[in-house]
Amino acid sequence: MLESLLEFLIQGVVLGGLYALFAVGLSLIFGVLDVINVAHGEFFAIGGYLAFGAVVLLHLPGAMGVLGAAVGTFLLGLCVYPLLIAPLKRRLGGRPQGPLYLVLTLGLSTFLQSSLLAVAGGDYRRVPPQLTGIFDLGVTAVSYQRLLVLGVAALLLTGLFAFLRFHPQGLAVRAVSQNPDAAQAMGINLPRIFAFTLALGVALAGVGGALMAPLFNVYPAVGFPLTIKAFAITILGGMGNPAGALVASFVISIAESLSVMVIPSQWQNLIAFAVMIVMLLVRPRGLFGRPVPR
Amino acid sequence: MLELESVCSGYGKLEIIQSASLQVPDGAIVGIIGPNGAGKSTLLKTAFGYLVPGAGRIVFDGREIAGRRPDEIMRLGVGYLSQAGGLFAEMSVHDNLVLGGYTVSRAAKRQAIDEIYARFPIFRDRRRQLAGSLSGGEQRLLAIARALMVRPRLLLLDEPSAALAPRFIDQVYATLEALNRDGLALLIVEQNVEAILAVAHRVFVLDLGQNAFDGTPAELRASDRIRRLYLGEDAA
Repeated sequence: MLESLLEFLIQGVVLGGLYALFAVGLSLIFGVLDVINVAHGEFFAIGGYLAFGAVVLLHLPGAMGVLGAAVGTFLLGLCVYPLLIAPLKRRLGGRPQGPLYLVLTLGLSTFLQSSLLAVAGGDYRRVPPQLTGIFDLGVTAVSYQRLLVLGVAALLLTGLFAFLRFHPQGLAVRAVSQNPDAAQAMGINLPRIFAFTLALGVALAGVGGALMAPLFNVYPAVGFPLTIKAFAITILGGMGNPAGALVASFVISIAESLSVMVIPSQWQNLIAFAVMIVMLLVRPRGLFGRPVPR
Repeated sequence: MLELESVCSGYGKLEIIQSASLQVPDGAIVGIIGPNGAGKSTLLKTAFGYLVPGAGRIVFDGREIAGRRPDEIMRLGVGYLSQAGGLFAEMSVHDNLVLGGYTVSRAAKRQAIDEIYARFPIFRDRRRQLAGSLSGGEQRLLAIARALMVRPRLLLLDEPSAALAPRFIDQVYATLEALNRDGLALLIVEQNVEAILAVAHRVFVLDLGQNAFDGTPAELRASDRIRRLYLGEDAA
């Protein structure tokens, strides 16, 4: 029993690394731009395809695949604010924008999925792992590739939080998240911070896609279920709170992993959404979010 | 220094300012007063670029600034303090000051922070405290201190005395007068008429989005009509 508990706990922690890479970026984007990015999963898929292109088609090392995914999705993400969100914002002026952003990013999600289907086809693509082999922990065994995902996630997220805490640009991102008008009065260029934050958030998803490509098949809609799960994670952590999303990622992944000890595994995926629904009913601001205005 | 000429502005189709003009000379303290809903804050937001004027000219140091973004206007040497102070409540006092110096070099920022700590020692002691946990008066002083990080030449303030206890109002205005003596020009929107009349060199009364009076505090006090209509006093 104890061995099973430890095994599922370790699997949960490893899965939490992927969830965190994905959900922290989504939460950061929401916190700064007030945009729920439904297209987040498509950047995960693009990251996977970029890794596939680099490693399988161009025969580059696996690390180059991950780097290419990071740079590629970052550059693509840089275009989203000026080309899509800013024009809508200008047209709407001071009117409420949230629902329209949701529809806009849903449109972007469909557009990107269809583009991937047109360019890469619907076949499942597989990328060779950056690391091969299994690490035996005694109670369980974890593939080196999964540990790599966890290690890179830990590294990137530590870097991200250090950046947000100490770097002037990171402080500017947090300032915009807290009070955009006051941030402008500090000389902070809002459109630039919006574009940068969106690119940073989707690049984290892109790296996740590249790291997970060897573990899952890559196909155009691969990221969409993850987007839906990330909504549950960000609601649990508190919308727009990246640190909350980090904690919630591990809460959900460990809960999912441990749940198979007591419920059939086909119910495992419901855990996140059950938590989301309960959280919305009981504490809409999540574990670490700001109070919801009445 | 700053000149607004026949400015019209508002929110979408709702026009609040219907042709207002004012001037802030170098080194002056200029007050804007008027009844609630007169458009005082709207005019200040328009001057700083939060709102784009529908008509009129806004000129700072000979440069047309109407339609520019607030961050661009700030870089020209204009600071802005909103009614609530606009602090980043979930950041420390120190981080708020660092953000105040966002547009200057690291060395200039360090020097400015040292100067702020020398001028406001309370903030050196509380540098790690969250800005949102300071008292109302301290928050207002921190907002002023933060605006000084880039050594602006003109500071726009929206009701600096709002929601403050009298002793803090005195402290805030004493600080503003000291800054003015050092050469900083101030354009202050204020509901607290006595506070602004005590320090201003010139006062504009705004009513229904238009100029209703323009003169010195002494001239304002001498005008029975203005005192009756806008200061709520009976004519002598």
